[in-house]
Amino acid sequence: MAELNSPINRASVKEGLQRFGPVKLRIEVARLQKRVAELEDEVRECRKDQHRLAELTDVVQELLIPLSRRDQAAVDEVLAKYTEQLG
Amino acid sequence: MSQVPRSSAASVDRVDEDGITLSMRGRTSGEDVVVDVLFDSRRIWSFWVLRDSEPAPHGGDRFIAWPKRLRKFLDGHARVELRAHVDDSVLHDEEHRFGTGEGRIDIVDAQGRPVGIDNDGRLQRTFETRDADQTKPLLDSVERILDALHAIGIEAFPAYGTLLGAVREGRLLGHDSDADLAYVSRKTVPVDVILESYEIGRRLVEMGYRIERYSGAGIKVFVEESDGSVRGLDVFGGFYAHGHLMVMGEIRVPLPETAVFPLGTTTLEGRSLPAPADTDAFLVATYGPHWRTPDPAFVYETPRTTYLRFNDWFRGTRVNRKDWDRRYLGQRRTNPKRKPPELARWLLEREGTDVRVVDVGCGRGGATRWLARRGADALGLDYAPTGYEFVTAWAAERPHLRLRFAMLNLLELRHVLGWGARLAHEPGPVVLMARHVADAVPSAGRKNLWRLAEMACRSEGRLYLELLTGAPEGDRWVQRQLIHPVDPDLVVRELAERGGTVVERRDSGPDGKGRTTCRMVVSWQS
Repeated sequence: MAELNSPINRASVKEGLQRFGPVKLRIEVARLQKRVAELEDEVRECRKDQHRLAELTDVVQELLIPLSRRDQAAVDEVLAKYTEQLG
Repeated sequence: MSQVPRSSAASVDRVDEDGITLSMRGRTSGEDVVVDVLFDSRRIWSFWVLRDSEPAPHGGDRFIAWPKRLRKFLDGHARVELRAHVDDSVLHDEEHRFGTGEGRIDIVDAQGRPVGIDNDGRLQRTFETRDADQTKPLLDSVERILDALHAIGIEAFPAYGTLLGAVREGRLLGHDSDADLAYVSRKTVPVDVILESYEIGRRLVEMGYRIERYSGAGIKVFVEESDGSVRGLDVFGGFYAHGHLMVMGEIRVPLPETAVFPLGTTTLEGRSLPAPADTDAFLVATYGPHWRTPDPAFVYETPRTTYLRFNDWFRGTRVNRKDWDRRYLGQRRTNPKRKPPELARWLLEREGTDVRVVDVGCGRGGATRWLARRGADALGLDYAPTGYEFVTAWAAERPHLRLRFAMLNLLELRHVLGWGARLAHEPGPVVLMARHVADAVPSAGRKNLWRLAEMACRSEGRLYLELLTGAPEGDRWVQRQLIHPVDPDLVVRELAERGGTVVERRDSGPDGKGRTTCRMVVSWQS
């Protein structure tokens, strides 16, 4: 068992499968590899939305209150302050 | 020279101007060993014998080159010692001469202060080169920022090397050069962690601190110290999700919340500071199980999955920023060119001098100043404030000029929306000038530039644009300018999608170097 788990033997098993394994199996492995790569890309795309959503929420949250109160002086102040505190 | 026994870690075959050649003969153990390099009895660098070396090209077993940043100092005499860091045994101790210099080698900064290579490979004033009086202002700053964060409800604590030094040695690590702070948010979703970080930034600014954002969850807070110098301390955000502790920028490990909360205390240079509840578990999470063994050449081996998570969730807003900062750092005290770029002349010819101009990506602010001196109400915006530092100070002495500067990062949507709304809100039409900006930022930044222009120029405004549209492959000048060619037709299409119409366009070149540029005036229908 230990021998089977050694990297050399795993490599030769893999090589054997590649050389002699059924074509269907190899096609399926290739298809799944491609699918995993696609899913990884999709996960990364979704993760990136977190930052964008936070930015949008922050702007809306900071501006919406004075706007909804129709408080022009507060709007002026928020617009000036918001950009000055961005860092 | 030394009474300390010779080391069994390795022996040194040769020390020369290229580096150190090591022999592995006589090693009593296959384990890797970290070695300090001392010049005239002062540590200047550390490396791992096996990890950092390569097969020796000319005899000997292993070779390690001098770090690039040390090479420029290697001209003269020095007593070179190599000592195993942990047991202090000696691998090598001899007088050497490098280059043709006659004097002693002095590894110092521009002010003549001793520096060494820190574990990020940078030449820094490491703590081992400073005495207690010199580290006191840093510790005062640490306490001030921890207090400020506490006042806004954030339970921060020293992290990374600062925590390691406190817990292991009760002091700042000799090979470290700055202090790091961190907090673990009670939020569990990245979007909420980022929103909280924005709020922390705002509150700190309200308290009078200048901040700089490194990511959605990391900021640098600047503190003025008693001698007037300004120090920036990193504050790393962290949070728990799915049973994992995550702390920007290296930690993602399964760890119970009880390892952090409630915070306990640790002692750093005699001061009691907050610390995670289980500092042992936290340091294992940060440095692995061998954190008790000193390692001045420690390198994080952050798993790719952790790195990608942090990148996707929080990063991507500082592309090329280090390069711009480096470029501006040497020019901080110099006056930018007075000769205006052709685009600024174009703008005044078409708009007159009684105009409100925003110079987006103003860089050093020379063109912004030129416009203000001709009567324009000029605002320069750039994401690297070091660039416009000189002209800001220059303008402060000339209050009759309408000349201001502020920070705008085109890679942060809230910067773009905030500034877009502000510019649209201020009375009167506004003219934007963006010279070599669309060709300096990644595509996300370019699209945000169009968004900003649309918001600011929608009622009667115009955008003056200049960009590189072609250059020979591998053009070094273009690389040094940190720009890249952009297809002008793509720009026209992207602007059209934002409602902008190109009302004037001039394509020029190729010039003698094979470069082509394009200048455009873009308007919006209100």
